Amino acid sequence: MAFLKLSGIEKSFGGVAVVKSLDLSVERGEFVTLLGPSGCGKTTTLRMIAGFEIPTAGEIRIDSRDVTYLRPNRRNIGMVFQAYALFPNLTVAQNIGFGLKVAGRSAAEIKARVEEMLAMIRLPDLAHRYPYQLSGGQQQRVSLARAIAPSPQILLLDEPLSALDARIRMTLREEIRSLQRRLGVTTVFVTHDQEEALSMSDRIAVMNQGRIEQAGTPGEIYNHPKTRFVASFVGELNTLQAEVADPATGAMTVGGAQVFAALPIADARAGDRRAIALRPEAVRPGAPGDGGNALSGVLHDVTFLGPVVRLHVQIGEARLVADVFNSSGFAPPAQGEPVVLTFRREDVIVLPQA
Amino acid sequence: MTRGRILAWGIMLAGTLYYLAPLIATFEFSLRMKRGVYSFEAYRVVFSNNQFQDAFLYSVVQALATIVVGAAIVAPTAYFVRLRLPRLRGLVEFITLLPLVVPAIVLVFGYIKLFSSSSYLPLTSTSLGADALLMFGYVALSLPYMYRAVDSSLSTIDVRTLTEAAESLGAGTATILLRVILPNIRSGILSGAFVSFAIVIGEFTFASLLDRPAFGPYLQLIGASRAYEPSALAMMAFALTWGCMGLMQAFSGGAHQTAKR
Amino acid sequence: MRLPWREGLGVAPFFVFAALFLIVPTVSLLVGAFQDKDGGFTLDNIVRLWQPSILNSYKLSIEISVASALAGALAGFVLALAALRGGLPGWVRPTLMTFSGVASNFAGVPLAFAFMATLGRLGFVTLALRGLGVDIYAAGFNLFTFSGLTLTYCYFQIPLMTLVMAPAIEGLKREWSEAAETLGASHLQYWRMVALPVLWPSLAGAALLLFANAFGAVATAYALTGSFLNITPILLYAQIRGDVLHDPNLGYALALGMLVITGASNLGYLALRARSDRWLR
Repeated sequence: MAFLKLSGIEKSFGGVAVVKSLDLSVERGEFVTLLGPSGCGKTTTLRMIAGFEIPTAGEIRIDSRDVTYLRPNRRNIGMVFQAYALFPNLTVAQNIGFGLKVAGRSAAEIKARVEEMLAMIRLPDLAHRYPYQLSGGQQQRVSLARAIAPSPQILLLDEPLSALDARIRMTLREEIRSLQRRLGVTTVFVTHDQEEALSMSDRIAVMNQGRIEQAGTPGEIYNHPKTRFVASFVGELNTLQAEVADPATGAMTVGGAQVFAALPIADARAGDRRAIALRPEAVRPGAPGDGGNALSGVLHDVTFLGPVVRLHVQIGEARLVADVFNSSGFAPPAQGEPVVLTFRREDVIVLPQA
Repeated sequence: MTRGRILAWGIMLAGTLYYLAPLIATFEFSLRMKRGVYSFEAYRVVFSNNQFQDAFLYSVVQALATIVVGAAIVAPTAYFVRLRLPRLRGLVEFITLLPLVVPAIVLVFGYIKLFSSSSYLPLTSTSLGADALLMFGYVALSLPYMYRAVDSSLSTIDVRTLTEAAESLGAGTATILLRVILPNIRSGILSGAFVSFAIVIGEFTFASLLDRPAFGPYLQLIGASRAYEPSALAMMAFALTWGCMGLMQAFSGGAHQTAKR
Repeated sequence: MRLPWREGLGVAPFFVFAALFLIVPTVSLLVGAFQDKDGGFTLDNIVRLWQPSILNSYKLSIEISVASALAGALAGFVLALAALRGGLPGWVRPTLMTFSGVASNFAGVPLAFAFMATLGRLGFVTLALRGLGVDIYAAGFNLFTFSGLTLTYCYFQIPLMTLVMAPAIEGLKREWSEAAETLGASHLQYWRMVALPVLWPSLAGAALLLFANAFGAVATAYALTGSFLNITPILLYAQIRGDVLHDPNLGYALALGMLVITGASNLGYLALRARSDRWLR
């Protein structure tokens, strides 16, 4: 039984539908990310879970209890905001203890819990500092501790890392994830950064224009995207125009060459146009006889990205990108040289539309 | 409607009543000059009165002079501080705060002491000298608002780049100020001008103690001797203030100015 | 390379003006406060400020200023809260701000006239209330007294408060109240534990500003109560006009006293504002 369940959630603002018929189930202790571009409705959905927005339709249940219309301060939810939102007039210790003080706990209880939290976020010496004296990363950790201190049943994070610089973002990502695993608190995380989503989540719900296009584990989302949007939003993507030759065997033609997909192509007949997608790391330069698929083209450019060398190859009208590990033996071809790109059947992602 | 919203509307209603009551009362009273019937007689009497016309004209001229002198002093200063003398900013802003800290009556007292007939600059002993002194006093009173308006207007244009572009085309400093900077801070100057106008027209303390025939002392005099005309004058003053502040806001893009009394 | 004298010339008018018409006159008064009739240094004038009539005028001035500052601060704050955070339609805020800008400048003689027409013995509101059976003058109210003047002062104090507090109230981040809510706080608890503590330096600073504003005001009082209410600015006015104290140097001391009081309040306002800026960085 799902711990957090959103059923048929809809939300409109002044006639504009921001969230359209959304269903989501989150198991106890699970870390689920709502991933999507700005305006897709992910923050609105999070705010409905928190109680700051009331859905225009549908219901929200936490631990089987209907909380759709329950006020935020009765839902026992912890929330971390993008802009930290620490209370400026309170010290770090007072901020963290706020939820407990409001609940009427004793001073001794509060003190013990605050110390516990400070140890957990590894900032024990900052108890008496004020928010304006802390860095962004520190403020966000305190914000996290404040949200967790009252032992909420659900933890909500609204793009908490977006305001921080890249290096702090990485460390904090890991901290949040390990903290969540240790405490086992059910968590919903909102972000537009697919790297964050992929690295932190148990499951990802990719949202677009108010709907969840696909929900699944990071592996599923990345390797088996169901729609063009999901495929292109998560990770880099090559797309090619193809025509279905024989749906049963997965045979397709791409600009005259024959390409095989691993599985039979669903809901297609010979002659249908489809787009196929290939991850750059699935494509490598090789020779036609290597087994699997091959496409011939001409090298357009080489980009050096550090651990990866990226080859831009012109194949007919399309430009494909192939990522190759920068190993010592690898010598990239020269510009204008003919290149054959090979890829396995299993790596061909057939998208439902052209 | 939530309980909080009802409370908020209630408060707004109370506030509106409090603000509008004196205006309505004054307007109503000003219409009562002709016994038994509402008329604009009081206004007619006021406008056709010579003393009124003289006093109002005097204050208008003072206001215009104040605006010109004030802008002439403030604009170059704000420009140079922003461009080349940023370290003076603190001092300049402190000075512009002085008229808000020193009450008008204390300031004019200082004027009287300093510029009395027995001092180095006996401005108070001649009529023209006293007029000039009054104008400088008005410039001082409107300084904070004029400076703030001009300075914020300057902050919206890239002063450095404009100056360098003009210099590269051969312009001297005076030309830059007059031909390049001034036209671009017109809105700031106008904004400051309207506040200054409102301040000068209604000002009482300086004009009264320097014994000048301005509008403020005239208002006070009328109030002491007539019944209905003061209300008409008060409505006029309010309409004028409203007009000035409205125009000031139109040119300032939102910054709010207040005068202390 | 630019020669510094060109810029110096550009800012010279400002500093000459400031010296001649702001700094020197004020300093001259301050010096005069410590001088006797022959120009020698003395503390006598300051000592003689401590006579009953003068002390009373200071006391009265302070009382009126405190009263109108507190009343204006409370009313102005509540009004600003209602308009900015009361969930009212979008047009309320700009309307209130514009009107506050106008009302805070509508002071002095015309304001006195307006209140006479409103709450004088035959004023609009007085008569209206009498029609409703409430006779405020019979109950002891009189426009030309302490309470009447305080009420009149509120007309420009309240909008001033609204204008000064509006940015501070709008500076209360929405996330704070939302964070407090998720932590279980009720609306009241949020205000008590977060919002009011965050706002109090601004509130106190603004109240000080209002106090200084009222303390220095003379035109409204003169037009309304003449010399009846012997507040310090009126006393000073009479002194400048006709040397009622029979001692010019005592007059300077009187001005010095006023300046010390308004100066201290403004310093307090600036200090509090700096503090709140630091917190809300």
